Amino acid sequence: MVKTKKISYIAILTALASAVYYVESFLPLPVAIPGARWGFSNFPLLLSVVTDVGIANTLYIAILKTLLGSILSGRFLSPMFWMGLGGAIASALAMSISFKLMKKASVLGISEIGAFFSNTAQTLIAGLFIVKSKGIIWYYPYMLFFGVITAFINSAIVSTILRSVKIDQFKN
Amino acid sequence: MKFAKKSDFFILIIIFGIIILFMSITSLRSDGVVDGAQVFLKGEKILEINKEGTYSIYNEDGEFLMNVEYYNDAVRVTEASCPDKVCQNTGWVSTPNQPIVCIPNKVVVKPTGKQNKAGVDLYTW
Repeated sequence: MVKTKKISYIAILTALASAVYYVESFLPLPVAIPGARWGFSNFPLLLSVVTDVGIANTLYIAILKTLLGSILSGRFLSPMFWMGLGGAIASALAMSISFKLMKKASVLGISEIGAFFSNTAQTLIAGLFIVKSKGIIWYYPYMLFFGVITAFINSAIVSTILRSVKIDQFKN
Repeated sequence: MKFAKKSDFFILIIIFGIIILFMSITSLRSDGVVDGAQVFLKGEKILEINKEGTYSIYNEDGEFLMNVEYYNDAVRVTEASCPDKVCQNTGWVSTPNQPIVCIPNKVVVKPTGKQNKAGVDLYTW
């Protein structure tokens, strides 16, 4: 794979993720869970994982989409920004590692693992650093359940993209 | 790459197992009647509510954050200053297990409850 092609591919995914991050803040949430977001901006992250761009590049996309998206939506350095950053990094790491380790992994499985670690990291950051109360554990199972639904939608989007768009596999 | 495989069911079963585990930990704990609330700002208790009424919550700089209402054994948050209004949409909370959390304002409203077994006996009686 040509290096320029890889750079532009990562840039496209970052731009896509930032735009989705911005637009999804206008969507109404069906649940009253503190700190919850739809989390659709994770599907470019999932796409980068399943096309094998490498852990470092996936981490770049995760950090940059949270930075750009939060600057666009005016949440930069707010508590929601820190939760989003922690969740994005945790899910990027978890998805990359499970893609490398699990030979039988599928898109849905990787997406569910990413959502689980993202929600766990967000709850930990909120409980330890933001509200400093263990009461937020009450919302943790609801957040996980919401994450399962979002992860299913994300994996459906990604498998549709993989089916209809020809993307070269990035062999490092 | 396939959309779903058999191994996904194990992942889903594990996640649902964790969901059920945490739900049973948080919901089965001594359910009682709400008889007040404690308001925490960044982990420090700033207000203890024992009587029915509407209470205004301010932060260290004197900025208005929200109103906390305690009426008829239930607690709710109104007129929150945060942009997402999650704490407001939580609505009336009538179990001491569920705290109302406001992430942007860093406020936790924790209902306090009587943990007496007499309450349970009264209902069964």
